This record gives sequence, C-alpha cells and structure tokens, in this order.
Amino acid sequence: MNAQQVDSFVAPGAISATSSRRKRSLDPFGKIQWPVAICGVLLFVSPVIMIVVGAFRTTPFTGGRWTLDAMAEVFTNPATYRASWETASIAVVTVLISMVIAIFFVTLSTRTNSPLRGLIPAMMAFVVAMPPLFYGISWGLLGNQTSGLLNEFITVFWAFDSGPVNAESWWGLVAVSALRSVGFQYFLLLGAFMAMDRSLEEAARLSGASPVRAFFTVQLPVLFPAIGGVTILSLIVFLESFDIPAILGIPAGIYVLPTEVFNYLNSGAGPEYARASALSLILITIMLLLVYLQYRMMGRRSFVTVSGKGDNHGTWDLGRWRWPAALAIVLYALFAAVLPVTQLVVGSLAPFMGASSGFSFDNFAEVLENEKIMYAFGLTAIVAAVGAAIAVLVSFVMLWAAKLRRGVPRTLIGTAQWLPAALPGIVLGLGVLWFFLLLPPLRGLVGTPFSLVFAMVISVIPLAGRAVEGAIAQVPMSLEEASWASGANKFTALTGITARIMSPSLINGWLLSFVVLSGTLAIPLLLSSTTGGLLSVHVYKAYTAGRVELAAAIFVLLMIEILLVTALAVIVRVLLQRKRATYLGRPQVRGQEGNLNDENTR
Amino acid sequence: MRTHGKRASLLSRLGCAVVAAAALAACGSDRPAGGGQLDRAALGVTDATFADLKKLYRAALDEGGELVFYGTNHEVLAPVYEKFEKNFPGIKIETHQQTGAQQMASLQADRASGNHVADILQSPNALRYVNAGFAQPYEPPTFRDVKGIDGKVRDGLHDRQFRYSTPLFALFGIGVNTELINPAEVPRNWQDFADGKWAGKVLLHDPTVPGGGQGILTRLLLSNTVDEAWLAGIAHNSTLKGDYATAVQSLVRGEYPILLAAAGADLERSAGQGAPVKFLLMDKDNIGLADKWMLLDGAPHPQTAKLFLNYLYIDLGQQAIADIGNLPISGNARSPHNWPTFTDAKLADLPPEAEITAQNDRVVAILTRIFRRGS
Repeated sequence: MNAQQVDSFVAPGAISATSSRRKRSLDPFGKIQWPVAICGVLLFVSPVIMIVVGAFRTTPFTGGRWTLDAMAEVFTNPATYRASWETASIAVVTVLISMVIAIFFVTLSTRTNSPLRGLIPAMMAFVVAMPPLFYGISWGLLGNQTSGLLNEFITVFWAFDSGPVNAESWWGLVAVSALRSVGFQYFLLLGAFMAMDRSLEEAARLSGASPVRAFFTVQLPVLFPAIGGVTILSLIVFLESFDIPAILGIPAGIYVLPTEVFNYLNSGAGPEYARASALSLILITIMLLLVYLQYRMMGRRSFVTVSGKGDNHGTWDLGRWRWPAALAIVLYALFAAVLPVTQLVVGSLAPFMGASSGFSFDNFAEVLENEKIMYAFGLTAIVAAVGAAIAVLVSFVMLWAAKLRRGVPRTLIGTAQWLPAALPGIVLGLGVLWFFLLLPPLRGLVGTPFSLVFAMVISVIPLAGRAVEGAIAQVPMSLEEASWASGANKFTALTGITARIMSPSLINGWLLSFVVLSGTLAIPLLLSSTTGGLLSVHVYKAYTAGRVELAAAIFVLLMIEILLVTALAVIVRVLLQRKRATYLGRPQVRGQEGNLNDENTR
Repeated sequence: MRTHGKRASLLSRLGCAVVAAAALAACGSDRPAGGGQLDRAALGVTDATFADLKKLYRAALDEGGELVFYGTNHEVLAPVYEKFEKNFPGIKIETHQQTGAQQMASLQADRASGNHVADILQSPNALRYVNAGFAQPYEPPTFRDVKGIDGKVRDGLHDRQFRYSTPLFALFGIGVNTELINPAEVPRNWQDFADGKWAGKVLLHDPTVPGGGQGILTRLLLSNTVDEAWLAGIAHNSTLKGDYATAVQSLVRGEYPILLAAAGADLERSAGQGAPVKFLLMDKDNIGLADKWMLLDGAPHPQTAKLFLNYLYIDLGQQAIADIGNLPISGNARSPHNWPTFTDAKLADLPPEAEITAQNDRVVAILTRIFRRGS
C-alpha cells in the first residue's frame, strides 16, 4: 500500500472531501481565515520585512538612505558563497542523520515494547535542556584530540599516535550537532506518532504487506506533515545556529553563515546592519524554498489518521530485537546526554573550567547567594512559561484556521509562521526592535516586558507551530462537525474535541518552547533593559568574564528546573491522555494482536 | 551557621546604625540628605574633593540612588562597583552587558523611544558611540588630580570636549601554562612567536572574527610592531579557537603551552583560583586597550553617574582597578600582581582610535587572507 492508497483508505471515519468543502463553505468559522492571516502577517512578517528593508538602508534608524552597496558587497564577496556552501552541506548531512535517529527513537518509545523505552523522554529532555554553548564546550573537552576523555579511554585499549576522536573537525561538528538535534526532533515528532492510529497499518498487513513494508509505506507517509515540517525546521535551525559551529568548526577552519552575520554585527568599525541583513536574506530565501517544496510535496493529500471510531495504539513486539534496541538507547543516552551533562556538572563543581582537583559546591553557593541571579530564575521561568503558552495558543489557532479552507489566507498563515525561523536570534531581535520604533504607538514599549515577550513569542512560533502542525493535520474536521450536529457550539467543538485530541502535541509544544525560551540569549540581551536580566543574560555575563564554571553552575540549576517542569508536563499529559482515551472510546489493548511476528495478524 | 551569620549581620548593622546616629549627632553636616555616610579617610581625598563628592552624593541620593551601566566586562569590574557601593552607601549599580550591534541598537532604541535606561557607557569602542551623539560632555574634577602621569599623556586619555575619559587600560600579553613550559623560556618580544619552533604550541582567539584576538593583532599591525610576514608565521604556528573563553580553557587544561593575546585580568583571576597559568608582559610594545567611560546623553541619574566617574579617578577607585588585574592610569596605585605602573608599562605607540576604526576593514581583509587557509 503506497501513500496514494492511504489517501483513499483514510476516507472511512471522515466525510467525503466534496461534502466537507460544501459544509465548510457554510461554516461561519471559515470567515475567520482572513483576519487570522492578516494578524499572522502583521505579527510574524513585519519584523522580517524590517530586516529585508534594512538590507537596502545605510542605517535602519533615523537618518539613513537607500543603497544597494551592502547587497553588492555581500553578494560579490566569495566568503559569502564559501560559507553558504559549508553551511548547507553540514546542515543537510546533520539533519539527515539526526532525523533517522529521531524517527528510530520516537518509534521505539511510542510503538514498541523495547526495554528502557520509558527512559527515552527523560534522556531527550536532558539533551534539549543542554544549552548549545555548553553542549559545544562539553564535546570540545570530551572529544579533544590531546586531552579528551574519550581519547584517553580509547587509547587505554588501542594504541594510537594521536586521539582518534576529534570533535573539532567536519565530522565532529556534524556528529555533535546531530546528537543534539535528535532531542528537538524527537519531541516535535512525538505528538504525531502518539496520535497515530494503527488501523491503517493493520489494513496494510491484511492486504499482505510485511511489517517493515507496512511501516515504511503506510505509517511514515501519513506522518509526512510532521516529518517534513520537522526536517525543514531542523535545517533552518542549523542554518542559523552559531554556538556549536563557532566552538567546534572554527578550529577546523569551518566558517558558517551565522559566523559571518556575527562578524558583520560586531565589526571593529561598528555594526554593519545592512550587510548582516543582506546575508540574512539568503537564510530567508532558503527557508521559503524549503517551505514551498514541502507544500508541493504534500499537495492536496489528506493526512488524517485519527478517527472517531476509537483509539488503536497497540505496540509491536520486537521479539529478539528487543535487547539490541535497548542497547541503542543506552549508547545514545551515553553519548548525547550522560557524557556532556557529566562534563557540565564536573565543570560546575570545579574552581575553574578544566581543573582536575579542588572540586566543591562553591559555585552553587555563589549562585544561590546572588539575589539578582535568584530573581532571574523566577523571572525566566515566568517569561518562558507565558511566552511558550502564548506561542502554542497562537500556533493552534492559526493552524486550525489555516485548515478550514484552501486558498490565499491558508498559504499566508502557513508561510508567516515559518518566517521567523529563518533569522538568527539577534537579527530577529533587531527586526522586532526596528518594527516597534517604526510605529509611534509602540515606541514607548521598547525595553518593557511587552516587547520582550512579543519578540520571544515570535522567535519560538516556528517551533511551537511544528509541534502543533503534524497533529492538527491528523485530526479530521468530521469530529468537530459531528459535535456541531450533536448541538455543541463551535467554540466548544474546537476546544472540547480538537484541542483535547491534540493535547499531547500541545503540551509537547509548550514544553519544548519553554525549554528553548528559558535558554534563549540574543533577544533578552537586546530587549530586557527594564525588566531585569533573564538567566541567560547572567550566564552570558559570567561566560564572557571567563567565569565558565559559574555559568555552568547556573545552567545545572536551570536544567534541574527544566526537568522538574518536564516531569510536571508529563504528568499533565498522561492525565489528559487518559481523558482523551475516554473521549475517543476505550483504548484497545493490542498486546499479542499487535505482534508483527504473529502470523494471525497477516 | 547561616542563621547565626544573619543574626550577626543584623547585630553588626544595628551597631553601625547606633554608631552612625552618634556620628550624625556629632557632625551632622557630613551626612547628606537621604541617608548614608561618607568616610573621608576611606575615600582618601582632599577637603575640596571631599566637598565635591559629598555634594554629588547628596544629589545622587535625591535621584533615587540608582545607577545603570551599559557596556562590557561588568563581571570583571564587579569588585570596583562593589567598592563604590560600599563607600557610597545607598547607591546600587545595575549593569547591562552588551557589545557591537546590540549595544548600538539599545542606545538607538532608547533615544528613539525616549525611554533612557542607562547613565554610563563603558567600552573600548566608545568613539563610535560618541560620534553617534550618545555622550554628553563631562570632565570629572578628580581626573585632573590623578597622580603620576604627565600632561601630554593625560590629554590623550579623553577627547577635546570630554565626551569620554579613560580611567584604565586592559592589558594584553602572553598566557602560559606553567606545567607545560617554564615562563623563563618564553620570549618577551612579539617577533619571536613567529619562529617555526613554536609551531603547534600557540593558541589564538581567531583574529578573523571580532574579539580579543582581532583587536590585538590589529593594533600590533597598525603600530608597526609586526608586519604581514609575522602574521603569516603566527598563522602557521597557532591553533585558532572560535571563542576567547575556550581558548583560555585550552590553556588552563594544558592542551597548549602558550596563549597569544591573553587578557591579564582573566589570567590573573584563573591563577588566583589555582589554575597553572601565568600572565607575561613583553619587554616593549605591550598592548593596552583603553577602557573609555562616558556620561550618556539623557542619563536618568546624571548626578549619580558623575559621582561614579569621579570615584574612578580617586586613589580608592584606581586601586580597585589595579586589584582586579587591570592597569589604572594613576602612578599611586600598586598592582598586587607586580605589574608596572601605567607610565612604566611600555605600551605600544598606537595610532588614534579613529584611524584604527577607519583601517578596520582593510586589516580584517589581511587577517582573513592570512588566517583562513585556503580562502
């Protein structure tokens, strides 16, 4: 069974496309698309437009004039093309590797009976909670050719002239970036995989498909919106990531686009906004091309995988592959989480980063006794929690509105949500700042909590959107329509049916957004002047002053806070899933029926 | 223990309050309105200066006792700030750490929105902010009282309108790992590091990206201390790090014995924490980055800012600067690290800051051609 057959198969449980369109045309909610699209453009496109305009102005502030100089300088500079090629090649390889690993682990954790699968979410939470700066530093220490722990371990057993592992290399950069990307991809895919109904797979098996063929030709294709969206987001996030390439790439002579943007913005001759904006246009163009490609590939196919006929979330029995799967979990946990987190914790206990003695809790005592840092913990938690909640809510409303009807507003909504992802944090922050300064009523809000939260929400919208997007594509409108027919009003149907079914994805999206906002730096540095510094700003201060061990201690405490919030979110998600199961009908325990090695299921 | 500590602290504060009340009764005129007590002996200033500071202090308390800084290196300078807060009770300093585009954008946004946040900007690149009109002229009276520098040198520490002035220099030299190399074997002139025998032994913060490595090599080149052939030698001998902090870590961990263009304050602090590192100055042509301070136009607490700027130039402030491993301009301040005084530091003869800025693109192009091998 291929993807097209799936399209025809998913009709049961949903109403026909024609009658659906007719009904939707009568649906008053359809009229909401244009206002939502306009709001989306205003919110998400305006800062990007400011950056585009900034590429053609001598200064984005008052007193500038129009010019093509920056565009000409950037696009005739060979370094631009070298950095573009370097960035693209590393990004593609990194994302391909990490997506395969992420799909493997999300499948293990949601669809199999692999031992240790319960550890996967916690392990991924550790990976996501590790800030990229420290992930890069940790791996720079672990994978150092002369003194890295890994090489010291390997050379105990095998004789090498120099350490065989070198984190400061092309493949080192790819491997470390891929290890970290898996965590994000896992959480972004989790909701869609959890919402996946196994009825399709069973139908494929009844049609004679092997278990492996059923997985690759039925399960994965219907998850295309989620997988495609996450792949594109991962590519874009890598294209604009700065910390890990700067730490592991530059020693190997690798310079990526964000490094060049950083160079322009911090030039010794003063910030060159126009050149940085011009360079950012490359990122925006690549992102628009990728989103267009995704639209073309998805076409008009349906990806509904949830029906109103009851849940079917049985697991596969891996049989003799159970323990190899568990070993894969252990190995990934070791390299992606345990080793770098250990390095971070060791660093936080050291008198200085790299010390081999004199460990103590002095750095933690210093953090805990610092009133400003402790205040920043609370402030960061509030700003991140509120920002993440707003981002998920806005994404949900926008993507739901986009789903109502095809046409221009749908394209606008979809594309608008992607745009902020194309800009490195500081460039996006500048775009928001210029946008506020352009409009007199907003000028007075610069530097206030409003502008800070506004910018942070915009920065995380692409991430929240991907967490919501895959799941919303899987929920048929027929469920809401059935609710209307039963007398429920539209709002009740939306919040009571769609939102409840999507609750795992919404919580995952909130959690991921919360984690990212807790550690985001560029925007708070620019816009938190009157709110007091967020935690990341204190970390930046300590790090730039050479107090790496103090910065590590702050991050260890932040990770503990994030893990506590993660645990809370998981509890909420489990409770909501139970409600969801009740809502959709009693879950069928598949156990033996789900055994892919069982002849009876063929 | 902590409870006991708090109790003890409370008792000591009560004691201080009683003593302060008694002192107030005895010489009420020394206590400015709004609370707080200035200790002339601790400040170590003349009667005339004390009177000026007292007047500013009173005005500062009337402004609310807040002071907000923009700029860089606030963590390094924290002990200097703490000493100010201790000696001028009732005033609290808030810092915002920003550089480059972020710093410029914040200042532009403050001006455009009318919401001025900061009072003082501290930056080695102050000239660009001065030229953009963010500074207001102010000559701290204590600047003229600084001992141990001649008039010509002093005049080079500010612009004509006193839109900025320079209380300190950040010294850059050589960092060595003492477990890997004997400091006595390390050359004390820049030229020797281009010799092939140092290949693979030298670390450097990538000079093709903005930061300490680029700033120091730019100044060495523009002061004619070194030439392009020397740069090529360094490019051959050195391992580049994309981030200054990781370069220091590599030195501390013993991955390489030598770090070129290391900041003295960073190395001294690491050594103080037990790291096997030592900071070395050259016999001549040392690089000192002038740390410029300016009173911002539209500062919400201008009198408090003026008080602080004056504090930087009295002996108390200058000694605080020396204690953290920077180079104060006063000949009276003694370095606990046995560094020479400002006049004896044999700093390289640098061109004016405006010329360094104007030459930036050209120098970065040279550095990129030489250090990005294959580019």
